[in-house]
Amino acid sequence: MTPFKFARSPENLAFGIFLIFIATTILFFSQSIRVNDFGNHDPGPRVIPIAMAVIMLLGGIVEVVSGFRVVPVPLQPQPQALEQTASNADWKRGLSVLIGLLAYLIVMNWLGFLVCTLIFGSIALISLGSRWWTALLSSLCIVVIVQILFVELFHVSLPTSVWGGF
Amino acid sequence: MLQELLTLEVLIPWILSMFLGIFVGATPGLTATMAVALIVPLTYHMDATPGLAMIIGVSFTAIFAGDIPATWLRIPGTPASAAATLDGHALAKKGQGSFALSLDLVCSALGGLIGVLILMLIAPQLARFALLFGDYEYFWLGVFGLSMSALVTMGQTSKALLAAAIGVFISTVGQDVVSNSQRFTFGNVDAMAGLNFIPVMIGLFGVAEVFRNISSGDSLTDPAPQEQPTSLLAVVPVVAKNIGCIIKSAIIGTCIGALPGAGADVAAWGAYGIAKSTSKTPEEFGTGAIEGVIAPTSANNAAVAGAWIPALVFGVPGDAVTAIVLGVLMVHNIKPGPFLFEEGGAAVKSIFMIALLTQFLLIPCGFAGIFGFGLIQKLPKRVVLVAVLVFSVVGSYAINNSMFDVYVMLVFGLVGVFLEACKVPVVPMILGLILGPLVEQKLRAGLIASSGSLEPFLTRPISMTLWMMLIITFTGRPIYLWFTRKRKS
Repeated sequence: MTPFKFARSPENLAFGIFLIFIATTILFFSQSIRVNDFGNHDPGPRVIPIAMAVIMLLGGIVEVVSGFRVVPVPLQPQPQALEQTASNADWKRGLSVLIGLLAYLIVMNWLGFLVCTLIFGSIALISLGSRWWTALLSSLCIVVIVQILFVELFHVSLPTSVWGGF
Repeated sequence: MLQELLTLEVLIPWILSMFLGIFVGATPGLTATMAVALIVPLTYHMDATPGLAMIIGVSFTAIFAGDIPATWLRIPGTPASAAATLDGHALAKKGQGSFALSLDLVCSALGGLIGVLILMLIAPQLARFALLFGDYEYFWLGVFGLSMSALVTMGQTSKALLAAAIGVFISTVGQDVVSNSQRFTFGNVDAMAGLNFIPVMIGLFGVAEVFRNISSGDSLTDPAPQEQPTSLLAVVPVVAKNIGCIIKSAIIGTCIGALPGAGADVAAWGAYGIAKSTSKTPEEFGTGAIEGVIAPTSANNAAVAGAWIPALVFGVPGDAVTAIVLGVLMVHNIKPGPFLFEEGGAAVKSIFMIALLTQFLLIPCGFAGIFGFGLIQKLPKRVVLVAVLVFSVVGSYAINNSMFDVYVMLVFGLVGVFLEACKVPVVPMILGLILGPLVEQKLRAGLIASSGSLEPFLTRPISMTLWMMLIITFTGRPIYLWFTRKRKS
């Protein structure tokens, strides 16, 4: 028999809180949707959002309750100290790329797509363990491929810098 | 007829357009509709036959090609390929991506072939049946499609339905089509048109997958281990073993494709859900099940053929692609409608023959696409991940040339990471987003038509059949399992 322990389900709890938050936000903002009564039996634009919010609210409450319930779960081996450190490092690596991506999107309107992508690609690759010259070369390749496919072939106008180029 | 098609002036543009279809379909953010729209201006300067060959070729190949990035990278190239992110991608993670795509390609061609044969044999009858669908029936069809999400994610039905509810809510953002009221736009002009499906999909699947990979602790230096490229002969026994599933899925795909507005994406999910519910091993779905690869790909290509049924017989387009095609047919003096089969026999035969031959040409063109895209898998994983992020940004931006879609993509990427951490399936959310507008519009239009009465929703024959099927879908399996357990005990 698989060894097990009794534990709560933090996933259900988090999902339940998320649903309750979304549902209450929908219910609050749905009051500001303008309803025109044309006398044609149309239930109106609020009906579906409110119906979905009620479903989410009820589902969220159920998820929160199930999150607090103690249920048997299969016993996992405890991570070693080294694995724990590695796991923290991976988590930080994900966060650093996310912050980099946010900065990339914000700065793109000023610096333009080409320069921004070159910088973002290089920094992201270096933070993921590439050497600087490999990172730069890879980013350059990505930029060139995007430029040829999207700009030259499909005439997509990618964001340019404030001074009009790139 | 065949001699006319097998000339260089027809074959060259035909094959080139199929390669364009492969490229556009495999690029997230560029859709099959976009590929056809790009081809249309060229066809105006051509004869009808090469023009039609280009359009038919590009529409079928783009739908298949969407499965290529869905399998390798978990980013569907087109909305119709979202189902390939499940079992196809699961097989790729096990090192069998090449096999999954080869199987996908052959089943796609077979599904298309069956769809075209159905188109040729029973087009008028099926189109007449499709016209029996009114608002009430479409409402139930939409609800039925949403219920498929519960089947797709068996074991997590409650979470799946809640995710579908989130998807339906997201579909309500923007300007209401009936009353013109703004819903949850907060004064943002870009949001008035609603949240585009493609950035949401790229975020939920692609960006979330990149962050999952970066944070998973797997090696980012080495490329993902993959087997040697699979030959066509290697998949033949698997295809032969699952021919029943292919035929069933292709028939489902053709029928759904024939319903105006339903499309290849709904067909793929419908076939996936039915394949899972009728499978002997439903627990394997989502982990790399062969039937999970076969069913959606057979159905989505068959749906492309199905969409031609109402277009040719009644001049009612089944999807956006056939809507463009109708315009092209008119330019070439081919008038779709009931008289087309009597007066324009040669044009109809030409369309049928092109659609049939396209399925055979799809195999070499598709293999070239799989091979080309497979080379990307030989790169170090971190380069692929960063490239996916950049392509996700560009793909989202390219839809409307707007940064708003890029921010939407990023937000849904984070939502995808959160939902995955909470063990909530994102697929039903996508279904909710696709089917939400259909369900809402048909519910409201139906209520307006019936003066607020719910009776037609429940009593019309096709409506009744659909809601009864819905009940059977939800209760059938638990009752069966209960009986089986009781018999064993």
